[in-house]
Amino acid sequence: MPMKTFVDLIQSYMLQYFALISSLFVLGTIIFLVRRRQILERYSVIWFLFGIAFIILAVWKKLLHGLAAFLGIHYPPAALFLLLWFSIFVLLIYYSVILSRLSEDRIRLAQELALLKQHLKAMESEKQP
Amino acid sequence: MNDKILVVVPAYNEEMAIRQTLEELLSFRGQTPMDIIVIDDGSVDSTAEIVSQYPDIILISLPFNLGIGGAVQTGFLYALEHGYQIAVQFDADGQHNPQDIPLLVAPILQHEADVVIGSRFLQPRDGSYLSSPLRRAGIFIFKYLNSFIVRQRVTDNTSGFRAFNRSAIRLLARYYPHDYPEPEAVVFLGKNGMRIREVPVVMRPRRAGHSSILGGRAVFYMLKVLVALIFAALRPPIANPTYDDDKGGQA
Repeated sequence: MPMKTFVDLIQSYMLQYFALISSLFVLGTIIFLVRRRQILERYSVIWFLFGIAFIILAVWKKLLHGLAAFLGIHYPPAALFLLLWFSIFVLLIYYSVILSRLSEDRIRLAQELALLKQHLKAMESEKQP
Repeated sequence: MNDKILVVVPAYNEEMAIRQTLEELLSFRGQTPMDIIVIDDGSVDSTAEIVSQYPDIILISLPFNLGIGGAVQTGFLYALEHGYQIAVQFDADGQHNPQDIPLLVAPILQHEADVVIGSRFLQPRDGSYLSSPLRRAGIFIFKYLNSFIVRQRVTDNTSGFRAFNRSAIRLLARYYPHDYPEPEAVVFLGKNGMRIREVPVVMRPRRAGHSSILGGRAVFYMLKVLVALIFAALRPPIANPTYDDDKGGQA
């Protein structure tokens, strides 16, 4: 049955192709957004790292299989999902850090703005007799 | 250098109570020289309008609601910039009595403390304002946990009636806890080497409005504050050099 083996062959590569294409898509999107300055370079670095890592894992089948074997996972694509989950977690934690920093900055800006406004008003009322 | 006391009054939607609080503070001002600053924390009612009717009171209007921590800290930033040696945190809702301000300030003037807290729990409760059992349980936990962490006895960790000297002002201008900050501020101040004293005060029931910590939220509040306290205890002190003008201006 040469037909059956051919389908099998295609199917066995299916996930690999899918992983490769979606990783390239993500990478392309990030490049596009950075080029249009919709993502700052400093925040794009983490995406590039994950994108490239997933392309390597998609292309280099042996690496994924070795990794799965090392982790004791019998079904290698499951190892890919595990890594994907891990990456998402890292990204989310990273965002929490950025969010906290922005929130602190925002508070200080509001305080300084309010103090400046009061200072301005006090100066204006001093000028007028 | 500014020898006056700065009374910092954070106010969020306090239109029902703020007028009387300010009148009381102003009529007391003759006895102790002090400036009064109201931090309007993005109120949506007429709080700011009422305060602006008093030309002697400094009004700072935050562009949006920062929460009590961010509001009080704005007062410390003002105190720092304008050279005040002492700042007193004072509630807008009428719980605190201006007559107690000299009691709070005295240990600072005598260089015995950097921070003084007005405590409801230092003397027998004679008509003093009592809170619900759940809240008392929380107060009990804070009392022992915080006293253990900072190695100083602090009985009233949720009291918002506090006096600070210049080095405490400088420290709090750098960092002030968020959300429900009073118990965490005690740990932060203690961990950073501030000497904390308490003086007994009698608090009145709030004149208007209600506590921001009620019912199911109270349990959430407890958990949140406990987590915050543990982290505050784990953090190393921040660098807070002492300046010459921190000594209390006896020069």
